[in-house]
Amino acid sequence: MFKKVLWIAAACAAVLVALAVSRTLNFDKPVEKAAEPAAPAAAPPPPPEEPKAAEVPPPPPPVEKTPEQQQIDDDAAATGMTTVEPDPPTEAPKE
Amino acid sequence: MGGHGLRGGRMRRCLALAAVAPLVLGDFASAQPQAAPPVLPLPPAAAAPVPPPPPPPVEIPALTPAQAEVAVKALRAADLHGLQPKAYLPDGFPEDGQLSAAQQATLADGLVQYAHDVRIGRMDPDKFPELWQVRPAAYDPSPDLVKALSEGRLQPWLDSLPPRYSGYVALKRGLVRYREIAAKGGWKTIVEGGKMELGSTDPRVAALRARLAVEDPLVTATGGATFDKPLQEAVVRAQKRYGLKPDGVVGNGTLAYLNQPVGQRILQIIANMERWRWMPATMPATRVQVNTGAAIVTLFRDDKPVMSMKAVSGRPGDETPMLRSSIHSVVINPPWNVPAGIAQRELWPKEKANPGYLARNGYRIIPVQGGQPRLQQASGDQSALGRFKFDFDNPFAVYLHDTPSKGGFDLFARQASHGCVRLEKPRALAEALLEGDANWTAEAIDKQLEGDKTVRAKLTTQVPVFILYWTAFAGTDGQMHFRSDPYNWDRELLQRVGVLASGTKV
Repeated sequence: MFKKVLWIAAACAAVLVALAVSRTLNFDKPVEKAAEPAAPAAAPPPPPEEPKAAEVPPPPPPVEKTPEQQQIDDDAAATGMTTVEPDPPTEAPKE
Repeated sequence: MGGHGLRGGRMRRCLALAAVAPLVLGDFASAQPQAAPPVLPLPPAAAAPVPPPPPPPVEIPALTPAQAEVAVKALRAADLHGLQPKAYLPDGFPEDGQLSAAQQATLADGLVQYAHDVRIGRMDPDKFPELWQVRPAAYDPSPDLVKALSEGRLQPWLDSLPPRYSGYVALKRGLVRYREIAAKGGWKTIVEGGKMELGSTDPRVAALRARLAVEDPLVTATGGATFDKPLQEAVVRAQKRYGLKPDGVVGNGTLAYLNQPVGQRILQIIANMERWRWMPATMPATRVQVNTGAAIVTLFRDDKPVMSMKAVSGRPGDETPMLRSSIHSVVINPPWNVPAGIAQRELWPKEKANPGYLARNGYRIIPVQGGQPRLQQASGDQSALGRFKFDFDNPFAVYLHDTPSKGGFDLFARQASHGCVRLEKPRALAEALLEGDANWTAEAIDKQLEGDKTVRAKLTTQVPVFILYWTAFAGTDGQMHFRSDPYNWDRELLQRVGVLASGTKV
């Protein structure tokens, strides 16, 4: 029984010692950022880069219809183009 | 119902013409009695609906000056929709929005009438001819107008009224364009004469070039006196726009179309815009559409046209009705139950004049107790219905079907049937409608076609069918296309809505 008490006391002491050591090492202090070189006072800001024309993707080439599809589309127009037009742009009420 | 339940004058017209086809195809030896084909039960007659009591009249509140300005502007622009502004607003009506009480009432009445007309058309729903079964639902705009006014949304509401379909919008553009042509004097008539074709030096070539240039932006009005290649190409384009044989030769037939006055074309556009207002607000994504005026059929799937074919529609006097229904089954190897009228008028006289005619052409005589015997033509290659019939319920007993008379599809005016719609590619349509049905693969259909046994393949999902009548429409080239109004229904419509009688602006 006495031995157990000694062991517990020793363990508590070890924990206290570990806490004391950790405090001295400042583990919770934020890490300082590496110092950046100071910008020269006279240097103007760099001009914004012009978008390169080559970066704009070219429009996709029109898809050529087969004669069969063209005939179907022509016939569809003749049977009544029942596809729906897009909604007109909504305007704020003025009335 | 199909060919099994033909009743009454209009209902007896299917396929008498096709009955002549077996003559061409040779004798049909077998006159053995066959099992009666399956008969679809008639749908139970719906009990006459009791009309609901009329709603109490809706009082339209006074319009603010800004609303009145919007309203007056819309009514003044009614002619953009082929309507007559005078029908909605008297001349001299103030446009600044400052209205007396009486003027407020006049404007409200005009708005309600305009909203009705631009949305569902000017035809009184009770006065549609029997054959015009594509009809709009009744519409009372008053509650919507009150709501739009109270929410300050008059303009968006007015914009939402006309049909939203591309076909209607294209006609609206066409109306503006042809009115501009009319305002510039239209086009001159080209005198009839000999044929003009490539190489012709006819003195009328210059007039032809000028005439084509009015409608076709690719043609220059001035040019040489010789009928050259570009002019020939322009003639071909014009013939396609009018549904004529595109041979590039200008005979009196082509001239008759070119010489139709521009005012006539404007009226045609107005009549077709009116018909668009009878269409449902939205269409099912998968549907079969038929234009009997041009004799063309298109299958739409996912709202996109995926198949089309020529058709033969009813001839004048036996017009194919305008209707909407749903195809519920494909009958493979259909027999033809001859309508009594056709038997009486066409087949019995042939039998009398040429005994054995009926047996040779596959008809059998079915005694009817206490009545005239009826005729049935056996299924098979000689059957007037060909190998496929597409059944849908309708009060006229019309349907889409195959035909042994394939030559009819080579014509450019294809109104020749007794009211049914003959299809150029029935097998393709059958396969498309039965797609996904494991019982009706292409191989299964092939096997069925090896014999003459009649079978009914029910569609797992019914496919809506719209039989319509268009004589003016915009083609994929953006140009207006016109047909000849074979049923004379444009004129009838314009008279019924008072356009022709009232001397409308054209």
